[in-house]
Amino acid sequence: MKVSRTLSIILLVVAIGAGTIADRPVNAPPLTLGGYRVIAADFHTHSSTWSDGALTPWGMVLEARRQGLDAIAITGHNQVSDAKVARWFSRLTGGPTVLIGEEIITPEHHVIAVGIDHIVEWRQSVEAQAEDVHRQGGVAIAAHPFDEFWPYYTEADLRALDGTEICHPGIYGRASRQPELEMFAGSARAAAGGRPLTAIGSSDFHGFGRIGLCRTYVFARDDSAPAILDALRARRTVVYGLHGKAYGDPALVQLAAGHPELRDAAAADAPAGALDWISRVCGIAGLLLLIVAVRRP
Amino acid sequence: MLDGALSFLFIPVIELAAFACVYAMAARRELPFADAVNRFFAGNTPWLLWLVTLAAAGCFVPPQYTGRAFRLLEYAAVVPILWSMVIDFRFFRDTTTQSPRHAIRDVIRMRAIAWPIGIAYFFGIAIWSDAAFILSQWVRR
Repeated sequence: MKVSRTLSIILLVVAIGAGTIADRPVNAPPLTLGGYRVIAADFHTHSSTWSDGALTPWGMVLEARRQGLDAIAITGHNQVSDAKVARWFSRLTGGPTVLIGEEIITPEHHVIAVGIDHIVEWRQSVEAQAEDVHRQGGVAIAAHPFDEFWPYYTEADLRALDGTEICHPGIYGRASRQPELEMFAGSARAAAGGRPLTAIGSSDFHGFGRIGLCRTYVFARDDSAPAILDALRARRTVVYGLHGKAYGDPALVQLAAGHPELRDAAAADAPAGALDWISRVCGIAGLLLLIVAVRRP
Repeated sequence: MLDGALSFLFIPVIELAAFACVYAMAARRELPFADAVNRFFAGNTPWLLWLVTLAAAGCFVPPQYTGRAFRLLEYAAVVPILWSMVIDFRFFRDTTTQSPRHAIRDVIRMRAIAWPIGIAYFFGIAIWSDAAFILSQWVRR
C-alpha cells in the first residue's frame, strides 16, 4: 500500500512538472496587419461560477494568457457577475482584455452578448435581446447555430444579429456541422439584404478542450474593449474553420494568409510534444494508483 | 490544476453538509462524526474512477472523437450512480442504521439534500430558463 502511494505521488509530481514545462505561456509579439492590430480573441467561454465551467473567473484569465489570447469574453449563462470578477482580476494583473459577456440561454436558442454591462433578459425574442445588447453598447452573436436551432430564428431575429459563430468545436465532432454554420450565416445574410454577419469563432470553453480553440482574429485599432467592439461592428474579423478554411472580411483573410501561425493557433489538431505526453500518461496513471491505494481509510 | 480543484470544492462541501444532516437524524451512530465522514468519503471511489476515465478521454482521444467519447461517458455515469448507492447503503447499514429499509431511506436522504443543491450551483441561473419553459408548458396543458 505504501509503495503504491509513494509511486502515485512520484507519478503526479512528474506529471505536474512536465506539464508545467510544456505548458508555458505563448509570448508572441503583437502583430499588425493592414494598419490594424491583430487581436486573438475568444468571445464565448464559461467559468465555474454558476456557469458549468471548470475554471474560476481568475483562472480563465490566466489560462487565456497562457494560450496567447489578447481578449476574452466570459459569457455566463444568463448572468454577468463572473465576467466582472475576471475583468477586475485581469486589470489588476495586466492580463488580456476581458469583455463583459452573457450567453443568453432560452429553450429555443442561445445568443452571445459581448460588451454589455448588465444582464440581458432572456424571456424575449432574439430581436429584443439584440436591441437590449445594442442599447448597452455591445454586439449580439448567434451561438453555435446548428440546424436544431434554425426553426426558432425569425427573419427579424436574423436581421438584428451582429455576428454568428462560423467556427465552434462542434465542427470537429461531426464534419456536417461546419456546413450548417455556413448555411445559417448565408440565411442571415439573405435576411439582411446581403449584409453579412461578422464571422466569429469561439471555443465555448467549459473546461475540457482548449480556451482559444476556434479563436477569432479581430483587426482593431488597439486591444481596448471599445476598439474591439468597433471592429466587430465593422466586421473586421478572420476565423479559421474545419481544415483551415478561412472566413471573414476577404481583404483581411488575404492579409492573414501570409501568417500560417494564426491558423495553427486556432486549429484543434495542434500536435502535443513529448513532455505533454509524459505529463498526461503520468497524471492519469498517478491518479488511478492513488485512488486504488487510498480507497479504504 | 489548483484552480480546477477550487472550482469543484463545492462537491465535497455539499456532500459533507448533506452527510452531517443525515448523521444528525440517524437513530444509531456507531462511529464518531469525523471517522464516519472519513469512511463515507471513501465511498466516492466509483465517481473518482469515472472522473479519471473522463480525464483520460480528454487526454488521449483525438479532438474529432472527444464529443462522442464524452457522450458515451455521460451514459456510463449510470455505473458510478448505482455503484455508489450500493456502497452508501452498506455504509449506512454498518454505521448509522440497522434495517435495510432505514439504510435505503438514508441513501435517498443524502441524495435528496446534496444533489439539488449541487445541480443548482453548478448549472446556475440558466437552469431557470429551462425550468420556466417546462413549467409554462405544463401550466398551459
